[in-house]
Amino acid sequence: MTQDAPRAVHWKMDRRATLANEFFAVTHAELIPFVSDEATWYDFDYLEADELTAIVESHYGATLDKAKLVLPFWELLDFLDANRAHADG
Amino acid sequence: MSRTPPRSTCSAAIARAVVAIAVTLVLVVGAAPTSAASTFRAAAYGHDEGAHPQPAQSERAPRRGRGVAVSVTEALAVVRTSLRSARARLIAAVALLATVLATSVGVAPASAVAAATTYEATAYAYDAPSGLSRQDVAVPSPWGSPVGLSAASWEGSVSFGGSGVAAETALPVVEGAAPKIASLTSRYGEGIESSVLKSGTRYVDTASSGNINVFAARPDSSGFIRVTLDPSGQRIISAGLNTAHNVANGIANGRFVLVP
Repeated sequence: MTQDAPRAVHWKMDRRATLANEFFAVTHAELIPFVSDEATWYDFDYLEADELTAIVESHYGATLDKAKLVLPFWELLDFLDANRAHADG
Repeated sequence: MSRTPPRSTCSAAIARAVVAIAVTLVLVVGAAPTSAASTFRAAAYGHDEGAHPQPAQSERAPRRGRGVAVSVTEALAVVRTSLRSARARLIAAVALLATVLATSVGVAPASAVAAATTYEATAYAYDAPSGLSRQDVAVPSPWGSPVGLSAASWEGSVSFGGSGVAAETALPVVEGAAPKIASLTSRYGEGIESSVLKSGTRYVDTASSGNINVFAARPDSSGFIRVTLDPSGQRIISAGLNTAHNVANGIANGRFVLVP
């Protein structure tokens, strides 16, 4: 197994850094410096799905089903941003 | 012993020679002298305007078709006026010669116009790219992301793992990530990714299409440093910190399966 694997591309995530930081803040994630475009929420956060659903509903006002969690994280961020019901969320 | 000072004699000789040359050239080139004399007059006054009164308007007006005699007369009159000072004499002689020669050849005016045109064109050509390359104009990046000079990569171009791939994937990012990377490297040192990949324990994540999580315990035992690879183990798709509690839960509930 390689010890010097390159990082996967991440330009879509780069464009959503503000949304990503908001998500990390509300889920109280630990330091997450790198999420590539192909990573899903499962790849960096080990909350239970039910916990995340509750947090998302509280902060964004959006309903989250598990099918969304297997999307690339950048798509999940777009979904949350497009479906946020709270003006301050 | 001369009745006139040597300096004046010399100057007068020069002037006579200049006039002779001018007259000769005027006679040869025919139509040129009118404009030549006018140009010469302008040059002479231009160099010594304070010493010489401006000619009357009628003298300054173009005179066409008056022939060689008028032109020579004009030239001589101007030369005489110019001889009042040594400086004016020299300038007048040079100007007369240059004007007569240039006019007879008929090249200088065209060259002057061409030079001016070229200068203007160059000036506009300079302005054009200057306007197009304004730094405050948003230029779409090849990746479609807004690029700012002050933006930092979300992942950052800072080498997180010392794997030498930062430059390969270095893309413009947003504020906020650089401090995270700086925090991580300051806490665990440069090359932390390689260290984790080298010494960490690998688990297949059954919740994420078989990606591989490599965990290494933090030196302060506060949790784990994680590097997540794609199923083939060839690319890093995420990296960060996780609590011991979350990792332990994942192992306990069977989500993480140890790679033998």
